[in-house]
Amino acid sequence: MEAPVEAPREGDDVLSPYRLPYDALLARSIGTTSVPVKFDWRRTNAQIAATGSYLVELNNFNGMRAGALVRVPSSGAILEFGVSYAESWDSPSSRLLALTPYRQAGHPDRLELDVAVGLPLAEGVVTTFPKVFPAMEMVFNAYAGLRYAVYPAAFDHLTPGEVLGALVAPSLSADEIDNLNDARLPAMQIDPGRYGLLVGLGDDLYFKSGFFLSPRWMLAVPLLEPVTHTELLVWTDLSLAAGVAF
Amino acid sequence: MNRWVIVAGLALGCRKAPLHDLGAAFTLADVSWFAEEETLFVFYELTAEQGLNAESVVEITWTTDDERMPWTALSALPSVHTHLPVNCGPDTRCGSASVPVAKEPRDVALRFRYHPDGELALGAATVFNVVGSGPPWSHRSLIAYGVLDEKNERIQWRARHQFPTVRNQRAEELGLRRAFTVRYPAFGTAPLATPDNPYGYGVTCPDTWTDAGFGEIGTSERAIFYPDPLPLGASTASTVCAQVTVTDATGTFTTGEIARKNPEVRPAFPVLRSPIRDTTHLPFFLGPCDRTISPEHEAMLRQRLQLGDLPTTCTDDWQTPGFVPGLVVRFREAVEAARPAGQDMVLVVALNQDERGVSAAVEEALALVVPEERHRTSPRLAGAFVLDSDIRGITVPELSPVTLWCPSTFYGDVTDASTRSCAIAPDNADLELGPFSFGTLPILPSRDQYLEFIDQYSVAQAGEVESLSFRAPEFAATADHVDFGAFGVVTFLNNEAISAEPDDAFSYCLTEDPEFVVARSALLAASDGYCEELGLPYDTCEAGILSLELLPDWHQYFAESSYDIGIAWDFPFLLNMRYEVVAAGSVTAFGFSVPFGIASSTQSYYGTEVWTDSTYSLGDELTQCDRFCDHPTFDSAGVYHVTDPFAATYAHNCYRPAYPEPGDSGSPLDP
Repeated sequence: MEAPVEAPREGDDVLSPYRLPYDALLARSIGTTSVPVKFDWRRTNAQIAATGSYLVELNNFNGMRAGALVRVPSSGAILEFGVSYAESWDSPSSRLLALTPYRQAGHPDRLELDVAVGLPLAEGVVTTFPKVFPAMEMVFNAYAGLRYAVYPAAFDHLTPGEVLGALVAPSLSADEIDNLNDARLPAMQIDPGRYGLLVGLGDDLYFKSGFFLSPRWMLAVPLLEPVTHTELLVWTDLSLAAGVAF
Repeated sequence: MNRWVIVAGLALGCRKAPLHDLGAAFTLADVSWFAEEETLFVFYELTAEQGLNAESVVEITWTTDDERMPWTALSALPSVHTHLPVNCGPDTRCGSASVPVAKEPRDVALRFRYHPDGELALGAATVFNVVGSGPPWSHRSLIAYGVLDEKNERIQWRARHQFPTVRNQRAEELGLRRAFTVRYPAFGTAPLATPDNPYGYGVTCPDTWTDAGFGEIGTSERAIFYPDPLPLGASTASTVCAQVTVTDATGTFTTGEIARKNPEVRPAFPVLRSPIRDTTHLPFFLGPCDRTISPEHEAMLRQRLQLGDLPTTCTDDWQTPGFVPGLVVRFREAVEAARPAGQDMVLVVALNQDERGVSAAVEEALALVVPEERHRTSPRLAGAFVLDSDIRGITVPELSPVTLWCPSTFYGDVTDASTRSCAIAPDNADLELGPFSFGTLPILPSRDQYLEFIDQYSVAQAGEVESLSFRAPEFAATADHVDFGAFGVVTFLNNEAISAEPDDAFSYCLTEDPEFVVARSALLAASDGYCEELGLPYDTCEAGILSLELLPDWHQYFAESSYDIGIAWDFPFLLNMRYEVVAAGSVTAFGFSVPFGIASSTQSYYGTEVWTDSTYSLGDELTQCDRFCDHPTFDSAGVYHVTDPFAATYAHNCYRPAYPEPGDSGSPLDP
């Protein structure tokens, strides 16, 4: 509620009618964001989030991921450590492909470990639509990350030494691929890539309470293909993380 | 620049994942039809790159005079026999099938359908065989036979797949299992197997054979043991015959089968013992008493032969006529004085001389004493060991088989024991490196070598003998020696002999150990002309000596009842010398030499290695079969070689059979 403006009296300064208290001026200048969001993500200790994503690979299989994410602000950037379960399933096209002698590269169900770093490119307080949602702080990040696929069934019948070797090898061995034969989809040829390099963009939307949303778009770049021998060179990951910063 | 590289890389990678042909191909597509069984057997194996699916099926089609079978999954057809699912690997599909087909099929073909709901299939170059009617051992897909364990007591009945293009074990690997039952086993002796039918499948069991008293036994694996052993009464029986029943598309088929006993084989002569004893040394130091040649060298001779302060036997009068007889008397007196102690003896003689002729005189004396004792019964003078002052050899031929004369030199092709054991080079070259020089001295050197060496490196660097021991065989009163002069002696120690029946068979196995043991054939010794026919050395033939290697063939042709066993040797004793040898060095500067050296202990053997062991194990070298020698048997891998009887196969091959045992798997190795 604005304070009533007192009418200038005779003999007063001609500017008197235009004088306003500072609070009133401040309220007018800020407008609808009159209550500033002062959430400082850099001062949080850690952020925990649940994450889910849809994998847009350039093959005929479908893939989704669900998992958890730990984020740690550091030196003006944010470090992320995640673990997800990724599941693949058939599309109508891949079902038809299974009737033929042809196969296409894909990934069977697996665990995925992610390490990423986010660099804020722009940030500020934004309003929302509809206005029933409170204003929030938005951070626009550029991301770069490494994704590591774990296939526990691939280690069946391997010696401890072979398992250790497989854990660091950039691509799946023939024995691992053989072990995964029962896990693949009928039209799938198991892609040997174990590591993936991703870059992308995303927003972090922080509410004053510490709750945050983080939608992002990640693009796999085939820089590691010479060592991973993956056939899925470029693909994207559309993800949304929701969590709490504290 | 870098920006464009990244853009280009992304552009290249931004493409759909390609499709790959999984590259399926048949590696086996064999079909056989057996008229006697009215059964069509199918064996297949298919490999691919990554991508074979569980839903994929193998289909077959054929045509007979009565029907045209459309493409049908093998799994959808009735099966005559059991076919286990086979895991051939993630990129391989394999298996087998047996389909009842009453009439001879034609246009038989296999194909691989990638998915039952799909239309695409991979055709196979199908191999099709027809086995018509005929004897069961050659015209049926399964034959049965029996084998016995090591003791010839327990019978293992076996089945063997018999397909035109697929081997027995391969058929099993592809999942085929055949049930068979055996009953009415009886034992007896008759040659039921024939060259055409080596397994004896399909024979008629004689009614006169003795019932073994076993019940029915059966399995769907390839082998099964009877739980009970054959009765003792079956010991002399060579064969067990039984009725075996197998199944096929027509129902069951029953016929006879046999199990032949294994050849009964044992070591022909497990161990030949020749007691080897330490001998008594009879020491002599021969040298001039009126003068001293070299005190350092004399000390070395005494040290080397461990003579201590033994009085010198004077050789000053070596040119007199009575020198040699006198020396002979001394030697014989020493021998006779030691003989009552009961041990064999060796004359140990140090010869300190610097005149031509002394050594020859000593040789002459030894030749009158040592050879005549060579073949006497123990205790005897086994031989002599002489350490001379010069590098010389033995010049009296009859002395060389019984005397070590050191140091010796090489005599061209002559290689008596002295030459082999004591030959040294006349010059002992040093290695010179600036002020340093390095050298070693043979432990039994000549005087010149020794004196030159100690002048350069000192006596301390010349090494020393720590011990001497002589070992010689103890000859029994019954020992029989066959002397081949310079070539050695064969001694038949104590009437050791191998007795054999005419139908026995021997197996000789070449071993890494040196061959010292030989056999003697009375027939060969008594017969003329065999040597020329057999290409054997005349001397050994004359004495009837055979190497063990020839014994299997000799017995096969001549079937003697007994063969003496003896040891071939070429020298009567073995000298073991332990000594310290020094790698000597010296450094010379300003006219002074300072010697130094590195000492190490070692030992050498002089004489012959025959006497290193007192037992000669012949168990692995010569084996003897005394029953069922014309029966087939097992090799070391456990494979039953049905067409290889022991007598003909193992005469010159090592016989190391691996027999089946109760508790073995039902899948014996039977390629």
